[in-house]
Amino acid sequence: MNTTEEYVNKLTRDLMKDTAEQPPFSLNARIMALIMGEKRAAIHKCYMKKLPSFSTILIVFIVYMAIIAGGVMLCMKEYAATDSMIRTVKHFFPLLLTISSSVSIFFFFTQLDNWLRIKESMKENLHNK
Amino acid sequence: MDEQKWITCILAGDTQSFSCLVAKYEKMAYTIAFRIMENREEAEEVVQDAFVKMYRALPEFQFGSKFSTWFYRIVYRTALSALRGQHIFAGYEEAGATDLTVAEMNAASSVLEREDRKEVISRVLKELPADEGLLLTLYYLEECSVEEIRQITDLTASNIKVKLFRARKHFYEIVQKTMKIEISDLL
Repeated sequence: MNTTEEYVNKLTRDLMKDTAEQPPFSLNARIMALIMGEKRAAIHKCYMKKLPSFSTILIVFIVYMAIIAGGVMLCMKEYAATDSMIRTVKHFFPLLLTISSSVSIFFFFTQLDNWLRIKESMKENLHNK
Repeated sequence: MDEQKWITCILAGDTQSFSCLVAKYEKMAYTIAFRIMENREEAEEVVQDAFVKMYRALPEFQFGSKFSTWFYRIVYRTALSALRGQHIFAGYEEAGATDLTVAEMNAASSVLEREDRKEVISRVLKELPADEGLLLTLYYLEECSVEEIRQITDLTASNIKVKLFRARKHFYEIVQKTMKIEISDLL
């Protein structure tokens, strides 16, 4: 690079020094507000993925009832005809319902508690940051 | 490097460290956006979008290049998207500009001593086409190398050199014209 080129480059650099455009003062705050919104959206998306759907809970409840009903039937060793089976189920229905509901509700509240704890910890992380 | 420390904190969940990145790069990002968009409000939108894109892409940044180069590329591409497909660089050009004349250099030297140098040069830069203003800003103000400008704009190194040469010539022509107009206004 010859002297003239060096001189021109230096002159240009000196001319352009401090000519960056000044952004408005509010731009920084607006950018940070957008970033906080991004962060909340990311946390909410992660939190929504962990929620069990209502249909899942209902299916689990029914499956539990069916399993417990079947288990009780096996224990009773009742392999009679359909009428007799229906009479037996009707007889023991309150007991079946109580046992299966208790197990299902216990399971449901365990998951609900877990879900609420995750939600609280996510909220705490957001407030702390 | 400060950026490395800040990025580590941001990825760990400390969003306040992001404000350090904003404080450091906001001005240059706005300058680049303004050179391309030639409009203040649109440049602000571009800068906001670029910082959000940068935040989303932070987990992928591996310090393979300078952080500034990587971010300015995001700003540049965000500005081009905002222009809706318009290109600011016309294409490969053959070097047609001549060297600077003595009169042009003298006019520019006289500007150097003025108290309102920044205002004069800012007016001159606004008169330049977007691509020339951007190249001069990146090369002479931000002091990016040709290789860094290549990474930001996807132009070839030879194309950048040719365009820089022409942009500089055009810049000095406008400076000389501005000084002549001022002298004739005074007389």
